[in-house]
Amino acid sequence: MGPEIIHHPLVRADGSATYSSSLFSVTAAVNGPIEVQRRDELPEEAAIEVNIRPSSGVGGPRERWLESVVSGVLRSVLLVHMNPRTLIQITLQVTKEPSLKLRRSVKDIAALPSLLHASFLAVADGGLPLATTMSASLVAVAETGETVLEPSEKELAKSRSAHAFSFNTHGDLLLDESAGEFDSQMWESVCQLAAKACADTVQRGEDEAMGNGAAEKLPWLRLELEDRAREGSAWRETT
Amino acid sequence: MPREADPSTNEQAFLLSALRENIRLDGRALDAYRPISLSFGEDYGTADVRIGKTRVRATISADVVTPFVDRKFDGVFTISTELSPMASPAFEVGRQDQTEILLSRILEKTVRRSGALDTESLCIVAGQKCFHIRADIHVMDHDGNLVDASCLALIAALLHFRRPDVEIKGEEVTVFSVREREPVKLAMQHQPFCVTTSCYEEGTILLHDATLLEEQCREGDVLISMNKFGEICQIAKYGGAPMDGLSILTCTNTVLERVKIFDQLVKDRIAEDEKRRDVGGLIAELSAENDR
Amino acid sequence: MATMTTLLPGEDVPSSQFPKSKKGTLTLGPGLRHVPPSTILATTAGSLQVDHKKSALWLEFENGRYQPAVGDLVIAQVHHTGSDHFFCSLTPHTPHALLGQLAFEGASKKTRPNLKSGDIVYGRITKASKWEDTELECINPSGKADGMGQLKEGMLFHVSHAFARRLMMGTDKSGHSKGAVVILEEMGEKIRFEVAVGRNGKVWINSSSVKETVMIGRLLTTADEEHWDVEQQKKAVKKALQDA
Repeated sequence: MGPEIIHHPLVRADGSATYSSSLFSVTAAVNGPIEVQRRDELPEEAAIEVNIRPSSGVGGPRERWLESVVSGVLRSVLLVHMNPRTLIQITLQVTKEPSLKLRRSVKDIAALPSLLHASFLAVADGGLPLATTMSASLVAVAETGETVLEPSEKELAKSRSAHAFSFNTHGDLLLDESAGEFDSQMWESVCQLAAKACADTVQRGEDEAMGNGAAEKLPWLRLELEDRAREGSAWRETT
Repeated sequence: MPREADPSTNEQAFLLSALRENIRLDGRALDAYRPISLSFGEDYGTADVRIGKTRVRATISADVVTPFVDRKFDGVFTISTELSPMASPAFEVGRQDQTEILLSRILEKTVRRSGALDTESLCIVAGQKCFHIRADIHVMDHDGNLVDASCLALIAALLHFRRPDVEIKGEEVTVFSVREREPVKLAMQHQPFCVTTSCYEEGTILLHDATLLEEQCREGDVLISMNKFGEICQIAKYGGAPMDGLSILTCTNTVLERVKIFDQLVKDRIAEDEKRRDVGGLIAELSAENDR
Repeated sequence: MATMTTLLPGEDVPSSQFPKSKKGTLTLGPGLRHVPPSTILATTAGSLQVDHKKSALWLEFENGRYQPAVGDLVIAQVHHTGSDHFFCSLTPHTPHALLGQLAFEGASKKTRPNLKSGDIVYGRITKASKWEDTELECINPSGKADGMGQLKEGMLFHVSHAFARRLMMGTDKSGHSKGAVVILEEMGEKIRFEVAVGRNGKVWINSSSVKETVMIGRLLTTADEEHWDVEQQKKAVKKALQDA
């Protein structure tokens, strides 16, 4: 099953999206390009401000770290030079978290793909200039050394290490964050698995990839974005 | 620095001339609310309220802490309202603005100080351990009337929430997780709701559930909180055009009617949610056993 | 119409879709960018639209903030007055656009219009660049106002910028609305009113009665929010007129 996505759930924000995986639910809102405060102004680029708000409590160092990681990835996806001296403001509200007690570091890693997907979908909804399409995935390595793509809560709780990756459509690595114990060989195999999974979310429907059997996952990200694009000009068909 | 953009002179003038003819821009009657929807999350203690385009989400969480030294027999109950740019770019992170101060103050007065939540029931071992109930108000969309929406969401979430069960053996306290033992409801003493009345034309035109534009154009407002028995928890009027005693009195009567509707709405939704959760659940199992 | 091409951010426009151009130049609209030598990339998710006559192509997408472009008619709100410009806002929380105090019909140093903070004007964007302030005028190159200038009284309604664009598309030769919005036309048959549509998602309506203005405004905003098709719009207009 692909994740659940609601496009444009909010009215005020320029772009918004709600992304729910089996682990996390995140609502993202983006405003921009808007007026930037002098202290944050960049002469040649748009400034990106990311705010992450946990479902309960106020954000702490954990959220600040996640914010810096998310804004780093978005900076490489957004065409920031198209709107110099402006601000792109992204607010991420976490509304569901795993109920099992997870290790802090593992939980942070597990949150990243959901946060990234939500913000990317919101930015795309808001029509902000993007250089590329990106996707992210989470991989856990079990005690046995077995790799699990998009692990469940239980699998994550028992894992030896957890890895979050993000790739763009050209297969360039945008994000690599890991927690736990693993060796370089393990990392390589996990990375390959994640790259394949990310590519799957945006592959073209007609391609030979569809013929690879039922085990192939649906390119949900492509389907979602194309659906949206069609909805946006649905009025044309009625004329 | 950023603030909500002021409406144009044309909009302000038009809104007022429409109100003089008893017309609101969305076609409502003056005392009518926009459509209200209330839904609950998968987890206990999350309520999502939408009044028109305004959307507020309340989340309740609990953990075990040491009680305050001067209040050994009471648990701790805090309400946090932090507005984020998600609701409007006018809200800045880490800086309180007027809307936020007002919102948190009214919620504090309406819910916490009116004793809606029985804090004594949150005590586990006097002076040593108690529950800390934390309510987080997240405003997702701001199109006016944040106070009424937040208050409704908060009360609904409190009623929906279940705290972990505890067992006390002498000095030893065991807190059971949701998976180990069915969690328990919070002890609520009453359910207060807040209703904001906006006034125009020196108090001659009164209306409920103002949109953002209507809020920006109003001369003053009165916030009245009460429960369904008509017991007033607080009345707040921060500046604005003066109102005479009689209009406040008529206000309280219309507010009571509205509060009764809110109360019924929350009750109905809670009942629906419990029914939904119970499908094939514990109660079904028990009744099946009885049948045998 | 051929099947619609939808593009994802970063994907290139297939060269088979390029319109044939006599001059050998193409005009790129929103949502596309040119990467030399001859690649055209999408910058957001949208459906590709091609105008063969004007050899133009652009992406169509629904949401997002209005981005000023030269030639757009907009409704701007005066924020404050400078020594020789009015500082106007096109969308909230964006840097102000400049409107010259002499850029009105018949304006001279002695007869410049006296606009106050909060007043609204209908104008045309004359300069839009990422490096400089946006500028607008309420005057045609020929020196005529041509409907532009201050909008007095009436009411401003807010719609999405995509809907505002559809409202401004006008009708084709056979009288069909190109943007598939017929509310204004249908209403115009029964009621007299003035209307100005700004590309920045603002619609100004003025009529002799408050009730009628509210009715038209509400029909427009709900048609936008609920994506009414032409039939639904006609039905809603009929119903609104009956109820009135």
